[in-house]
This record gives sequence, structure tokens and C-alpha cells, in this order.
Amino acid sequence: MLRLEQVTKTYGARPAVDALSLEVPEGELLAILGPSGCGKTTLLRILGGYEAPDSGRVWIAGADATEAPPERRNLGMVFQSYALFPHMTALENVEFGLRMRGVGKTARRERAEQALRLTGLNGEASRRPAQLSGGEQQRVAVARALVVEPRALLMDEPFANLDRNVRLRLRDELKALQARLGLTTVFVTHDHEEALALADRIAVMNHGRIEQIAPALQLFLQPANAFVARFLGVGV
Amino acid sequence: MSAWRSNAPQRLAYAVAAVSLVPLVVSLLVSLTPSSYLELPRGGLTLRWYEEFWSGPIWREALWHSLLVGALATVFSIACGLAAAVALTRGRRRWTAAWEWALLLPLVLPGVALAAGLLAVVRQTPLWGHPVSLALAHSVLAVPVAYVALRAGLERVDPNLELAARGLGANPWQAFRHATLPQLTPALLAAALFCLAISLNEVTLTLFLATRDTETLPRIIWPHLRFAVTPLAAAASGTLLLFTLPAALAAGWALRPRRHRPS
Amino acid sequence: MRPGRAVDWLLLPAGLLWLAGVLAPLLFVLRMSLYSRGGIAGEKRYDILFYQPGTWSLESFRQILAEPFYLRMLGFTIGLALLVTALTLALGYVAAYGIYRSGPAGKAFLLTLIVLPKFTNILVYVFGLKLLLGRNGFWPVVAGETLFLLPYATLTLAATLETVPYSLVETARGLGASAARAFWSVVFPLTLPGLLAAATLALLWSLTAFLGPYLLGEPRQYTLAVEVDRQMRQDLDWPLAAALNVTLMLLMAGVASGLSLVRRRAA
Repeated sequence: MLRLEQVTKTYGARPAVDALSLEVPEGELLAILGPSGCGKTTLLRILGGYEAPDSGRVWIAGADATEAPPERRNLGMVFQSYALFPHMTALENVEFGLRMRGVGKTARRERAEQALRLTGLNGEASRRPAQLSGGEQQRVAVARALVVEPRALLMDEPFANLDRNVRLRLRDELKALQARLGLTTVFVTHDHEEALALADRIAVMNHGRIEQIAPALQLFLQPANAFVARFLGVGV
Repeated sequence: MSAWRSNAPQRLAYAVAAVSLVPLVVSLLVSLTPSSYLELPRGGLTLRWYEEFWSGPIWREALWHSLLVGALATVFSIACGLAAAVALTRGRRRWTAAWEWALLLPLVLPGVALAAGLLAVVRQTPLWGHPVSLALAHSVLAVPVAYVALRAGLERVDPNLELAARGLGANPWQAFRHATLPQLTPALLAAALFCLAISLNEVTLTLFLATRDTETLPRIIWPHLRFAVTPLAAAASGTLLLFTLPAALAAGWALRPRRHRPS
Repeated sequence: MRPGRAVDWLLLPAGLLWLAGVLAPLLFVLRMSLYSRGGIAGEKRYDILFYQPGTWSLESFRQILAEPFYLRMLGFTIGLALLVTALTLALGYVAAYGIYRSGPAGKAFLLTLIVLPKFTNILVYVFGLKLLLGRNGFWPVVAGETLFLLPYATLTLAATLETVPYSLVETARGLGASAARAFWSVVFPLTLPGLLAAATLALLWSLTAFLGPYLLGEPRQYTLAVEVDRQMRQDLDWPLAAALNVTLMLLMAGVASGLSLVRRRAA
């Protein structure tokens, strides 16, 4: 579904993403795991079209999308800060993508309300982001990304700004939702517990490269090198 | 520590502020004097000089010119300032410092040098004697202020909002229009009022560039001030104040400190 | 967003205005200062040139540097600027310190009062000042120029003071420092960068003093800027006016680079 081919992106002297190749099959939930500054967010932004790679190709659903701007890629993105439009209500936020696609007013409203219900929100549709709790904001951000029926979902540290209880509940809900929709999903995290709990496969990143990509269990049993083992907290 | 001592800094500051406001108050009081001479009103106050101001076609026309030039200068400055602020906050980082240096340069140039040079330049164009030339000249001074105010406004808007809009299918213009612009309204309002105030209050450029066809209020007040005759000029000054004072208060309101929203 | 070149095009309007409204006038002034003068003086007829095109000459600069009239004027301009800057900084610091020690509402109110004169036409302000002070002279000029610059200095200094936590003063007091001692050894040194910034602006702007000396002064108090206006619009000696402008700007550039050197050394 998503494929990166020898992608490099350099800021200043050091490459944030270094000749990296990656393939995400249809319906998979992939976690990109690594310490801060390893290039995982840059990788996600290249997938979404928010950064242009210096070299390499990006393929989406079999087509070369390297030059396509974000609005042509039809991927859902959940930013770490959620990036909800503060001057719009929760419902208007969710409607935005449909509005840009020229969906009529009534159809738009119906689909947006449905998406909010899907993520577990009911009475909060007319509130502004500032009046919502962190967990509610995250649900709105997910609903906003899903309502346009994207080809894949990208999430940047989606649980980082939530306290522990909310985080655990939303994590389970998201996993269930993703499985139900069968939606290809890539999410970035620095928390290996989160990656283990959610992902079908985990890609461990360091210095702009993928050290190892494997299902969670295999990663634990056969860490490819000392960095992976140390990062997962496994003694070597 | 006595109460007086702890209040001393504030008291001194209020004293300084009061001294700096006295000339303004005097100017306004004189415009209300019933006397035919420039003196503080004794006995009653009257609007007689304002009536005379409004009945004089020269003054009314000058006021109209001032407002026309002010409106044009505001539009020019906001357009240039907003475009530049977007380019320099959202675009590449290279050359930003040089651009800013150039954009802010007019603020420290001597007014008479700019005015003399502009006089020489404008005289060679068909714009000479046209309100647009005056408005463009005022914009030279207003663009730096508009740029600074709008850059500050843009820096308070999360750039991810525009990216999120792009991801949801908006093109770059739609993303700016729907995600950023609504949050820029206070900064835009403040910047526009600053520009209007700069244009209405600008004297040096106006003296050099205005012609018979573009007499503005400051240019008509000028001889009255040098060879002071009647309180009419005070009334003209008071009328200008009528337009710039609400602008000042509105700008203060637009820039009032606000609670940060949780993100 | 892709770092597209499209966004760079947004610099075009401001860039064009800058070329036509800043660079072209400055180049004109520079070239004008090197013309021979036109010999037509005193008459306001706009179809004649007030300089001889195609000539190159330093005569205007020679005149400025040779005539005691202009040397005295140059000296007066600098002296006035120094005095006005000193007074502006002193009063501005007093006002800024009062703002610093006020509560949020008081801060906003005081700031509004201080900035208010800047939103009124400077002629309205001069008008009141003239009536208040009676007749023109040296001190009215100093008062006028100081009051024109006061809001800018106050804003700059208030912004710097805001960065000094008052708990530092309380700590110093707790350690036995008197109020004055705490101020001079804690607050004042921390506001030096702001003071330098305010001094730079005040000095540059007071060097270009035009309306104050013109409207509140006697001919003895006329500055370079006033003379520029006189030569431009009355005596119609444009090369001389331009040379005076260039002299003024060189003076300002010297002051600005001198002060930025001080700032860099302090940093």
C-alpha cells in the first residue's frame, strides 16, 4: 500500500532519513519506534507529503506519489498536537475534509456525525477544541482523519499528550477500530510498550535508518543488534 | 516599608505619562475656546471652531483627502506586509535576515531624506499630484509596522493547522484561508489601524509630496501652526484626533493580552 | 508544506515597493548630492531643474565642510541628539519601571497612556506644546523632541524589564541589600541590553529631528533636517539638500555601527 524507496532527507549536515526503504502492506498496523531525533517524524511527514525527500521515491497504492502535495495523496494524518482548527467546533473540524471535497451540506453533516460516533464522541459535536479534554481532542482528530475515507492513516505520537488511563483506553479503542476498518496505519512512537501493544510489525529506527523491522515477538526474541535490544530493554 | 515608598515607582510613571499627555489636553481645550485667540477657554466651552471647520470647503476637502490616502495606504501596506510576513515565516529560512533588515530600514531613515528622494522620484512619474503617490509613500513607512504586527500574529498560529488542512484536501490557498486567516483577524485589525494612524499622522512625507490637488489635513494645519492665527487649526487637529483616537483604542483592544489556549 | 518557490513570490509586492520607495529615492539623493547646482533659486516653478544634469561635483559637500554656518549646525544637531537621548532614556526608564512594578491592569493602563500621543497627529501635539510653553526656543525644542521619543524608549525598556523576575530583587533584599542597592546591582545591569537598544533608536531618531526644531525652535535651533527642508522647498538648492541628507545618513550609519560594536563587545 505504502512504499518508500531509498528515501533521503537531510537537514543541515546530518541526514534525518538516510537511504531508507520500507513497505507497508494493505491493512497492516505498523509502528515506527525510536528515540527522539532518530528521524521517525520526518519519515512520517515524507509519507504524508508534508516534506519533500531530497532523493528517493514514495509510492502509494502502486502509483509514484513522490511529487504529489498532501491534498492529492488522500492519507489521513493525526498530528502530535492534533492540529485541530481552534475557531471551528468539533463537528466543523470533522466536516472540513468533506467540505474541501465539495460534499453537500446535509451529507457532510451526516457523515461527520457518524465519524464522531465511531470514535466514541456523542454530545461534544458543537464544542470548540479548547472546551474538550485531551482525550476528546484526540478522538476528534482521528474522526477528522477517518471521515474522508483515506487510503491509509498516519499518526505522529498519537498518545503522547494524554495521561496514562486515557492513553490505555484510547489505545485499545484505536486498535479495535483499525482492525474493524482494515485500514493501513503507520504510527510513530518513542514508547516501546505502546508499539508492542498495538502494532502488527515494528520498525526500530536509529540515525535515520531502520535497524530492524519485524513482528513484535520476533523483535524480542531475536533483536538484530545491540541497539534494538537496548531500546526494547532486553538484556543482550 | 511605608505604603508611599512601595507606590513610588507607579506614581512617578503616572507623573511622566501625565506630562506627556498635557499638550494633547491643551490642544483639545483650545479647540473648544469661545475666544478668537489661541487661548485656553475661560467661562464656557463652544463648538464654534468645529462648526467653522465643517463649513469650510477647503478643510472638508482636506479631511476627505486625508481619509482617502489613509485608506489606500492601509490597503497597500496590509497587502505587502501580509504577503511578506507569510513568505518569511512559512517559506525558506535563507535570506530572511537580509529581507527583514531591508523591510525595516525605512523606520530609521531620516524622514527628510526619504521625502526628498521620493519627491525627486515621484515628480518623474505620472503619479505626481495623485493621491496614490501619497498613499504609496505612506506605505513605505507603514509596511514595516504592518510586517512586524502580522509576523507576530502568524507566529502565534500553529503551522501544523495549515498542514492538517492540506492533508484533508485543501490546496495551499484554501489551507491559508480556512486554517490560518481566521486566527489572524486580531493581528490584521491591529495592523490596519496602525497603518491608518501612520498615514493620518505622517507630516514630513506629506509636506514634500502633497500638491494643490492632494492637500491633506496636516498640510493645511502646517501654515496655521507656523504663523498661528485662530483656534481653527486646533479644531482641525481635534477632528484628526476624532479619527485616530478610536483607532488607537481599538488597536490596544486587539492587542490585549489573552489567555493561551491549551494545545 | 512542500518548501515550494511559490511562497517566495509573496515577497514581490513588498520588494517592488521597497525598490521604488526606498532604494530609488536613496540612490537619487546620493546622485543628487554630486551634481552642480542649477543657479535657479527662490522661484517655485516645477518645470525647471534645480541642478545641472550630467555634472559631477563635490561642491555641496565642500560647502558644508567649509562654512561655519553648517559646521555649527552639524555640532548643534549632534549636541541636541545627545541631550534628548539622555533625557528620553531617563524619563523612559522611570515610566518603564513604574509599569514593571504595576499589576496587569495597571500595566495595560499605563502603557496606553504612554503610547496615546503616538496615535495623535504630531501637529496636534506640537500645537498644545506651543501654547503651553509660550514661545519658541532651545528648551521647547528639547522638551518636544524628548516627548516625541518617550513612548518608543518606554516600550523598549518595559519589554526588557519584563524579563527580569522581581524575585531576584526580593532575594537581594532578603540578603540585606537596600532597595537602591538591589536596583543598581541586580535590575539595572540586567536591563543594559534594552537600554542600549533604546539608546540606539533614540539617538538615530533625534539626529533626524525635524518637526521639533522647526515648529518649536528659533533659527538658531535649526538642525540639518530643517535645513534639508529649507533647501529642498524654499531655496531650491537640491544638490546641497541632498549633500546635507547624505551627511546626516553617514552620521547615523556611524552611530549605528559604533553602538552595534559596543553591543557585540558586551555580549
